[in-house]
Amino acid sequence: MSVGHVARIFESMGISTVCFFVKAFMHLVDKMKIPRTIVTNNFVGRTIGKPYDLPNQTNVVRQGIELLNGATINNSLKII
Amino acid sequence: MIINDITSIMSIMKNANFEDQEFNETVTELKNSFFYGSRNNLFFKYLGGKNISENEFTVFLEKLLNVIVDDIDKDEFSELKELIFNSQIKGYLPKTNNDQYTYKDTPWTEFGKSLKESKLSLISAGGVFCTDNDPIEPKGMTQDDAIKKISEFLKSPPTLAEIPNNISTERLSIRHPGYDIRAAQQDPNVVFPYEILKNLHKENVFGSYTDNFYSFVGASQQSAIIKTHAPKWAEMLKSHNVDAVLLVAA
Repeated sequence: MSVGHVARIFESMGISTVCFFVKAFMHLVDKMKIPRTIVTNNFVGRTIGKPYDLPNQTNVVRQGIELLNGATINNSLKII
Repeated sequence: MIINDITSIMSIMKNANFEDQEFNETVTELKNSFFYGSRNNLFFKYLGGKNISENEFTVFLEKLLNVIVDDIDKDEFSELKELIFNSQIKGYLPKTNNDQYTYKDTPWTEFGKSLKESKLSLISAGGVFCTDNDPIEPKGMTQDDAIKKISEFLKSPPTLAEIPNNISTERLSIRHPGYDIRAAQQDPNVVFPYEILKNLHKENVFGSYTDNFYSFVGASQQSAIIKTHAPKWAEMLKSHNVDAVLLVAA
C-alpha cells in the first residue's frame, strides 16, 4: 500500500513512476488505481525474482522501464 | 532392529514431554500463532491472518503434507511452490471490501522523454539500508526487535534511507517487520534491484541514474506517507532532475 501511495503522490507532482508488485498484492493495484505497474509471479518478499536469478530479475526490471515509454493511462498494468 | 527403533521413538517422545504434558492448543491458537505469535513466520503469516478461515487453514495443511510427498517422489517441487503461491494470494486478498484508500482516479505524469535521455531513480519499500548508516533509532535494531515493534512501525512515519549507487552488497542490511527477509538478505536485488538497474544502464537502456538510491519500511503510517513524506521525497527527486522512479513493493 505504501508504494501505491508514493506512486500516486509522485505522479501528481510531475514524476513518472513504475511500480513492482507480486501477485499477492495485485488487488491493491486496482483498488488504489496505481499507475504503470509490473506484477510478478513471485512470492512475497521476492518481488523482482529469486536470489541471484539475474536473467529473470533483469527481465522484470527491463519490462518495468519499457512500461515508462509504452504505457497509457488506461493500459498500464503488465503481469509477467 | 525394530525393537531398538521403537525404544528410540518412545525415548524421544518421553524427552519431548508428549506423554505427560497437558497440551490442549486449539486449531485457532495454532493458526494464529503464525501471525506475530509464538510461531511467528513472516513467509506464512497470512495463514494466521483473518483472510484464511480455520477450515481453509486445516485444508491447506492437509494438502501441504500430501503435496510434499508427491514432490519428494518426483524429486522436484513445482506442485509445492504452486500450492504455497496460490495460498499466499488467497491469504493476502481481503475477504471484505474496505473503502479506505480506494481511489477512483489514476494520477498520471506523461513520460515525455526518450529513455536514453532520462534520469531514473529507485525506491524500495523493503527496508534496505547501509549497514554503517542505519536510518532508524535506536541504532542496532535487529530484525527480531523490529518484528516485536510491528505496531509501532505501523503508527510511525517512514524514514528514507539513502543508499549510494556504488555501494557493495556486503554493506547493505535489510530489516522489515512485515515480510520474510531471507531472500533479500542473500541478494538485496530481490526487493532493491540496484545492480540490475545499473546493468541496464550499461546496456544503454536509459540515460542516467541518481547518485543515491532509496529505501524505507513499507509498514509505516500511511497518512504520514501521503501528507508529508512522499511529497518531500518527490521534491527532493525533482531537485536531482529525476524523470522517473522505479518503486518496489516488498
